[in-house]
Amino acid sequence: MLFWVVVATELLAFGVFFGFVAHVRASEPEVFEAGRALVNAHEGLVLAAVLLTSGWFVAEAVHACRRDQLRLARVHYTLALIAGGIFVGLKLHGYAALGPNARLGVSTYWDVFLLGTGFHFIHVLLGLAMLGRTAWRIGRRPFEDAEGAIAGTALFWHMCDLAWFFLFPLLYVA
Amino acid sequence: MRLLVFAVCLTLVALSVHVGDLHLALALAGVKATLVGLELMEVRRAAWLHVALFVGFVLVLTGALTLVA
Repeated sequence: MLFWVVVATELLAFGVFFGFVAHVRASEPEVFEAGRALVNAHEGLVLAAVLLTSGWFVAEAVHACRRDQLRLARVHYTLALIAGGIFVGLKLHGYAALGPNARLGVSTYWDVFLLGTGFHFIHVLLGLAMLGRTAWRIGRRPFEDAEGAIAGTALFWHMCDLAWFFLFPLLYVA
Repeated sequence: MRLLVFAVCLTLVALSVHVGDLHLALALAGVKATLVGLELMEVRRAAWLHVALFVGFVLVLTGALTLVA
């Protein structure tokens, strides 16, 4: 239940930010388009696919845990972690490739791009830490509330997925 | 079912770039969010009020973003 409250709060916060991005996009179309033309939509597509794949592995891990297939669950969690790590690597590479003009205060596009993807990136790092901790504990140290810990971690990770679903078209698609 | 949702969402992600239309991409994001929420986050197994709240939130968010953007 606590995880649902956290996830709902985060989704609301992301939702408000998405509304702000949509408003900026509509009110400053030229500025927004000039910035957007410098980012690669296919990079956003690959990032979405990688995050979605990671989310699917996590969902499979939760079901493996429920069937008491702890080894399989750990394999799925590890694969989810690898996919999450690929997301982090690609995002860092994407930031590095943006060039010197892509920084806060240069244009409204870069403000919302860096704040939005940065806020999401922090959530991904947090989610990866939670996934890693849960994966390590499965089969090694018993959870006080196994269902809550395992499904809760998965919920948080899926929330990162949902946020990227909306962030991606708003920031990358023409 | 989880694999089907994953495959459908992956297809929709690719479609949103290739179509290149923001409003359609946002609508597809709403579909993906609903599918992932109901199946992978298991919202469909929750009480009907929670299901309605989740689907309602995604619909309102998608609608608002499509109108504003």
